[in-house]
Amino acid sequence: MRLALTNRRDLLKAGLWAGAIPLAGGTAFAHREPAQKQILVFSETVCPETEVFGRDVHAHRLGADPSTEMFDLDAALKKGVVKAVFGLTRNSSQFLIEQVALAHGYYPTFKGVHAYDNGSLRHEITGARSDVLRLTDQIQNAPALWPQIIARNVPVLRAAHGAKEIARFQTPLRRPQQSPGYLVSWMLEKAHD
Amino acid sequence: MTDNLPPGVSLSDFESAIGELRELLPLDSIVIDNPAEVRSYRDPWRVTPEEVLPSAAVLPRNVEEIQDVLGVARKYRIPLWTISTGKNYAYGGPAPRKAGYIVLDLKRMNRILEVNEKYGYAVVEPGVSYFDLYNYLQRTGSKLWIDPAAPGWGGVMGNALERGAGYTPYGDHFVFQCGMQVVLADGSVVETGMGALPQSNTSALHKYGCGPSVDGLFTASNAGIVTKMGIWLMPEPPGFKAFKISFPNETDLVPIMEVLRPLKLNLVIPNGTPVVGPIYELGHVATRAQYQDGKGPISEDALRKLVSDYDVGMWNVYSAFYGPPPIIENNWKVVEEAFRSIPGGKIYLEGDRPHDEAFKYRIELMRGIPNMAEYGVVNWAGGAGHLDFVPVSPINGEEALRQFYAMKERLGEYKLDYCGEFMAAWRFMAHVNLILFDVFDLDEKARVNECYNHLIDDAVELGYSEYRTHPDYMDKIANTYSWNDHSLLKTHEKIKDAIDPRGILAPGKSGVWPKHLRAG
Repeated sequence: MRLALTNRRDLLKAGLWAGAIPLAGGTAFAHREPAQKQILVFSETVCPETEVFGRDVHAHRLGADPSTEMFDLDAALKKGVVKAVFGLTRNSSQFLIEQVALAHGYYPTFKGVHAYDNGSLRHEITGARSDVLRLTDQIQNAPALWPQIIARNVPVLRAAHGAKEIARFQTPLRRPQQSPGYLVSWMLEKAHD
Repeated sequence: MTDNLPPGVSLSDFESAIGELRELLPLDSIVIDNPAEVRSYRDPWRVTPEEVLPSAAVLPRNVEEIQDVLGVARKYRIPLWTISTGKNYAYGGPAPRKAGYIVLDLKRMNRILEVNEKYGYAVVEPGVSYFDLYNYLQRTGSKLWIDPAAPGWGGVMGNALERGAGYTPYGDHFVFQCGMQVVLADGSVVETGMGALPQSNTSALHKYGCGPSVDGLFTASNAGIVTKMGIWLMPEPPGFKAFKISFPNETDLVPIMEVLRPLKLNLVIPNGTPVVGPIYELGHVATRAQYQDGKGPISEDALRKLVSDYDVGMWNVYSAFYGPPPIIENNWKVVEEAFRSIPGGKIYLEGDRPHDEAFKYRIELMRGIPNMAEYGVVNWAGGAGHLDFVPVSPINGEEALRQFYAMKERLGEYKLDYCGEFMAAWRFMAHVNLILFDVFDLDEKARVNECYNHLIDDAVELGYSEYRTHPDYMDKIANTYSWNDHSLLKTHEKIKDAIDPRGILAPGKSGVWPKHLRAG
């Protein structure tokens, strides 16, 4: 699967950007035709990197208890209007959302681990070869902007259902004070879409 | 079709079995061709190296379809691993005991069959989660409360069958279960207790009926498939008062448990009372990386800073009162006075700490409101892995402190943090240790496995063991119950052989293997 639109402005213009549609309450989805499939994007309120990421993509922000958003996601996936679910979150939120999505036939097709330690940030990115190479290049060129880089790449990430490329690299970067220090970026898509 | 066959089953038999299942069940009831879908039945937090995947999964919608599956399983001697919602990830999630089993996934049997407002109970199928039941009661304007486990996505029935716990006075879920419908391995269906009486109106009211009570045989076991269960629900009380008391020193654990014991024995405190250590208390809002670089365990200085930053105790006691306000206030005086005898305690009531996320989610749990907040604790160590070790012992201060130090030291040897709480319930305390690790760190996972085995041995030396465990450790834990040459395990095996002679139901569950798969 490759999303045809390449930047946020185009997506917004086309009304396809998930952040343009409030997930809470789930009613927005009821008026959408299945043909207009969307990408849902999640971030968290508890850490600066995910806030930066979330602002850039207008993500749905998860709080300390993500259960309401889990229900809304479940309802949205049931309606069949979601092409992919993407997030930059802590592990717990990724895990919970993945379990909700699995029940609807969505599976991980992209994964990034981003862990700080001793003044550096370790990235491990797994996905389609072109995506992994592009992200590696962009992050290494602008290490501090990594959440924005991931946000910018959301629309162009390709599903890697088969063989995946893995890149592991470190960049010099101190953990922001409020950061949990360990984050994951992830994408879930229908296995047969 | 699959290179992951059930143990002892030939490819041709397996293919025949799947063919027959396809004739008997709707097409979408069998998961086998899509590897990603089969893989969704894995244990994502398994610490041992090999991945244990089922050969397939079947998702029946009713008892008749379960009977169809059992017929095929008996014919080809295919092991079935039954799950309800499959969300018990600290204990293996939906993954079977051994690779190749077929998972019998009951999540589509998710009807709330009855809610009885007058007598305070519900009758549910296996796929009903705490959220499902809570939302149903809210929607219908019911004045009954549920008792959720900490993660509310778990199954009402599955949790009771695994003898799980919640946080209201109805928190011992198997105690508050009443009446089961069970499908046995031969396909016959039995109602337990008063449910065996035709046209009974007390099947969810009286637990035992006349004669031997068999409900316990179907908990944590592989004796049958429970398809319906009654669960008592607490009527909304006229008053509710929650409290939190924080204590500054590790050694305060001794007087805390000594004060708590008589209050529990006399039911002055009606619900399960967790006494929570700092990482369990704060792991859902803070991480180790925020306090030190590198892997664990966290240093004592860093731990003190964490506790100070969030103004919590080294031990934090949570509980609540339920009932008429005058009785609540009387009981509160007794409890407050008892805990004030311990120097340094800080007492908080609901509303005193509006930004305390732990107090907030625990109040919800004590009010019977399901949530998912506690799940955040898995972020503490980075990488989200989590395995529970929960030995049971008497409510005793010296014992609690000895266990705490012993486990903290053992975990530290393996560079792991102590993340624990003591849950005082009835006359015992369950020492809930969440072993947190990075699922992507193979070395750390190997250390967790080794440490877990060591913790089991340590516990046995001190005279206690776990009350439930992850499938990987079921044989080892079963063997700790070894009195009189393992006579309890031998009894379980005799029962297993008698009621499941083909050995198809969850072989190895709780260490009980059918005759043809037993070692020796």
